[in-house]
Amino acid sequence: MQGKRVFYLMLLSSILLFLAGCAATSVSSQKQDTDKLVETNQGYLLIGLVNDYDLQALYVWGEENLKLTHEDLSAGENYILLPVKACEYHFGRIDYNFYYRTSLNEDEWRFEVKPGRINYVGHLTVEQPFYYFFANHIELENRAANAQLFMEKYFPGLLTSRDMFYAGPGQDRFYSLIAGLEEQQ
Amino acid sequence: MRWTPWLFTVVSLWGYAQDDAGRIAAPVPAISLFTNQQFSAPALSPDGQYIALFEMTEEAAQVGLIERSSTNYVPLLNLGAGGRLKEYFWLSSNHLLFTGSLVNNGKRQDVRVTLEVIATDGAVSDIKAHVVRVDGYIMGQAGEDPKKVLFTTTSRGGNTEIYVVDPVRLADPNWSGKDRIRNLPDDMVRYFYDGGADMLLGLSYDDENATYTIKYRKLRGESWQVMLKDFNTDYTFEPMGFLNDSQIAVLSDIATDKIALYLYDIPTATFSDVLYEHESYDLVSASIDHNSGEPASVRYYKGGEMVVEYLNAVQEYHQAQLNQSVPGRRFTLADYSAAADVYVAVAYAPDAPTDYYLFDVARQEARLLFSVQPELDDYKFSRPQVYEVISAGSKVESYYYPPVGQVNDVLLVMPHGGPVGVRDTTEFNRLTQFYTTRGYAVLQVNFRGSFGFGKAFREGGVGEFGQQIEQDILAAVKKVQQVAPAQNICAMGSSYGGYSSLMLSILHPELVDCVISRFGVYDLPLLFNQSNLKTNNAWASQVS
Repeated sequence: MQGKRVFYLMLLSSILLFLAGCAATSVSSQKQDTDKLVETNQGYLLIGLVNDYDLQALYVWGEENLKLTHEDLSAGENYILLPVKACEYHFGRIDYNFYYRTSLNEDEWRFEVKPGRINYVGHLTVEQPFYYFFANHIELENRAANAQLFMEKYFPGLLTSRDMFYAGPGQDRFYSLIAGLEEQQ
Repeated sequence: MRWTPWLFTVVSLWGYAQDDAGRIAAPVPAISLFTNQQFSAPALSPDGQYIALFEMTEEAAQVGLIERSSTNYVPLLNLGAGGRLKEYFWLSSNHLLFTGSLVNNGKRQDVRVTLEVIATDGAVSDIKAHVVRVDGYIMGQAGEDPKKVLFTTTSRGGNTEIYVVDPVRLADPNWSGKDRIRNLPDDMVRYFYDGGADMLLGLSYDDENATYTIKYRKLRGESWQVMLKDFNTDYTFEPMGFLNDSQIAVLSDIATDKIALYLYDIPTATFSDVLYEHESYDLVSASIDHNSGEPASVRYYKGGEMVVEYLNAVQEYHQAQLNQSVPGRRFTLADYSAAADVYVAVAYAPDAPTDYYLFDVARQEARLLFSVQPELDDYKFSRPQVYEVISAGSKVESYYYPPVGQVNDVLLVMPHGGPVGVRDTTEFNRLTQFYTTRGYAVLQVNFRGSFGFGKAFREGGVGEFGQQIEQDILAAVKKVQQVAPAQNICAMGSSYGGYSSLMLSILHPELVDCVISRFGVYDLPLLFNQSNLKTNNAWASQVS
């Protein structure tokens, strides 16, 4: 009897986990330098990602729930550019593999995507200190200059047609400043 | 054209003149200048017969001792290349307890070992090492029995445990503490021990209000008394030692502008007496004579140099004797034997690396023990000149280092980082001397916000980014340009010093010819908005 109960509990847990995963739409980063904003209530979400090792999934919760898969989450520095609905979001969960994950507090990981622009929300860094297994240091860092260089290199067309803004925690006028400088030139 | 290299050599050697002491005025090779100290941490055995010291070279690190009678150096423990000293002290006249790490086949291993020195007529004949396997640290010698120490360890449940123990017994692999100090509260984050008064102090921290509380009791006492409740780190409160069971000496600036030495009455929680206050400078430390219950010494920086003022007449006399015996050096007494008949003294100078001397009281004789960097002994270094200027009503102290040997006619202005609570001193500084021995003059300025000149001066730097701080630096530069004008001025620094250097050139482009800035703090909003963890409420409340 005990064995059966454990089996059913595991089955139920698996179903709940599966459903939780299904509630988000799997998305992947845009590769082509073409403007894919088709509706006026859409904006570009640009996430920088720095991680020590491959991640299984990254969930972004909002009016639309987004799931980034391991395709965009390999170890190193990656950028994820997504045309999404303009609304408030927050980073919700990071899955390291099938067994280990971290849920993130809504208040500290919130950002807003505004319509018609490129919204850089920061570099999500997921680092594992060498001294402790599975104690990850997770931080959303503002590396606006790096994101600018990335866009200039891989999406110059999009950068010409859409303004870029910092949309992460706190404020940063970096993009307005360099846009002003470019206008002066 | 075959003679050109010869001409160059002659000109170069002509530039590298020797001073009166025969020291060479030449660029010191960077590898010599920036190599770590070869010798450090001398500790005198209680009977004054041995001086333990730590030696570090590229090949190996080791603990050794000097026999006082023969001056022979005896290696005690080889720690391999990269081995480190954490601490050591003499448990008796022939037992040295060492804590640190050794490197064996590239692997680092923490080590705690008691070294037993076996000697005949003062000459070491054998060394026995007793490895201490139990994890923990020594908090000090027990006041009730100097042959024992207070050993602190952590229980399996994570609680701090303190034992009074014969340290040699710790080497026993089956050691288990018998004499445990009872009734240690769970909320203490750290303990301190004043062996002279046999008092145990505990520090607790209130997470919610971010405040500390200090409690104390006799080591084997039952009840804890509150010494200071709910204080934060906005002001200084550093206990230096008990004067009696209800009064302690503390360094504090709660009641005065300068950090002074106070008599603090615990039952009434009042600063009842000023034991020592300098009219111009903050105290940085003090010591207490437990036999007399009186302050023994105070330390402060005057004109950038550390001054140790002995309030004990005998030590003051010994220091004066030492200062006279080696001109140009300022001595402090670092360690002494149980009978106070032998001292280890440190000889400081702004223009020379530290030397250690052994002072024999009966013979009135100071003998050089070792230089910390012997390969620098042959070089001449720059001796700073202290200048004071009045800037916006405040006295600002600055240190000007003239070039050594060749002269480039360039003044390097080097603002320090911080800007608040940090300072420059004139202690031998390898980076400064790197430049001076290459012909540059260097200027360091303790602008408002710097530590050491009182609370008002320190707090005067708050909110003065790019404003009055830069005016203070400018005033010092103008003063030096009157006294020792240089053709060109270059500002350089790191962190706030980097920002300040840049601001100096922006505000005064006619004055500054170049700027070298390393990781300067140019964008304060970005510093605050750098990450989501820095914009949370807890962080914001700290910086607002």
